[in-house]
Amino acid sequence: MTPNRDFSAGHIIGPLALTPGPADLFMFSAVTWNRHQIHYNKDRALAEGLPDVVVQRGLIGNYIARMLAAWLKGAGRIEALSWRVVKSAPVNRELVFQGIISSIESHSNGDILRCSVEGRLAGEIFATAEATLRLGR
Amino acid sequence: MPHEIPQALRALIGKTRSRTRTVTPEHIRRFAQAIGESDDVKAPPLFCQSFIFEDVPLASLPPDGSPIELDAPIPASRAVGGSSSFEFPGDIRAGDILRIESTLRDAYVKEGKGGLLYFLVIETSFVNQEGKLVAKESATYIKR
Repeated sequence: MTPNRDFSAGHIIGPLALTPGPADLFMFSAVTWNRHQIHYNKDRALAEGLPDVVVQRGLIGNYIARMLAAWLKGAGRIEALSWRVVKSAPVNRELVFQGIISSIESHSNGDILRCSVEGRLAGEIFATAEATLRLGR
Repeated sequence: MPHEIPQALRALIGKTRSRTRTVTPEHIRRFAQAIGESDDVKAPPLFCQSFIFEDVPLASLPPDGSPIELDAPIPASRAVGGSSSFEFPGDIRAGDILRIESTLRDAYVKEGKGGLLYFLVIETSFVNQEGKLVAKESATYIKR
């Protein structure tokens, strides 16, 4: 649904469901030059008490940003995004993100939307986020 | 009674690491492809993550390969990312020359289930060649 003004607080954004695999983790580690072994070395990940290699926090943030940007469809921009990973997400598991608009403020140069986002893995929350979006006028 | 962080770590609070990077179309294209974006010409919102970790030799990193920014003088060798907070006051485009500064803003320790947890708060700013702040992150990492 496009972000015109026929929505109000409580409007749902998403969901976005995806299953990052080893190639996704590899590419993200490569482009960010992140050599932290828990993202590609399963033995190391297991030794640290993790269930498998785990999705980078940064990549999770990008998935959230992607969902928000897809909803904006170029009609606005993400001004701020904060997220927290509360439980590590192993590779090859479906991650489902969904947002909700919590408030809308109208300003002379556009509307400011505040959104809350949850990321779920097997139905349980593994990440939460708050975003500020600006819709142009 | 609250736990104290080691003095050697306390001394690093406020210290800044700086570097300059020139954004190329290839940086943007590869980052977009890595996150599954169909548009690989325009920089995605979090594109600045391309340069968030300093590119030092592997031998310079902690044994777990975690970023050099997390190589703190504390009795903890395992790191995980906790939270991240970004502001995007501007856009990043190919050709931009970014001045990147990473500063340890805070460090504290809490008692966890398996022992002490050390929290490192690292702020990273991205300023373009016009002196404009285009992105800023405040990230909290946990070492145990």
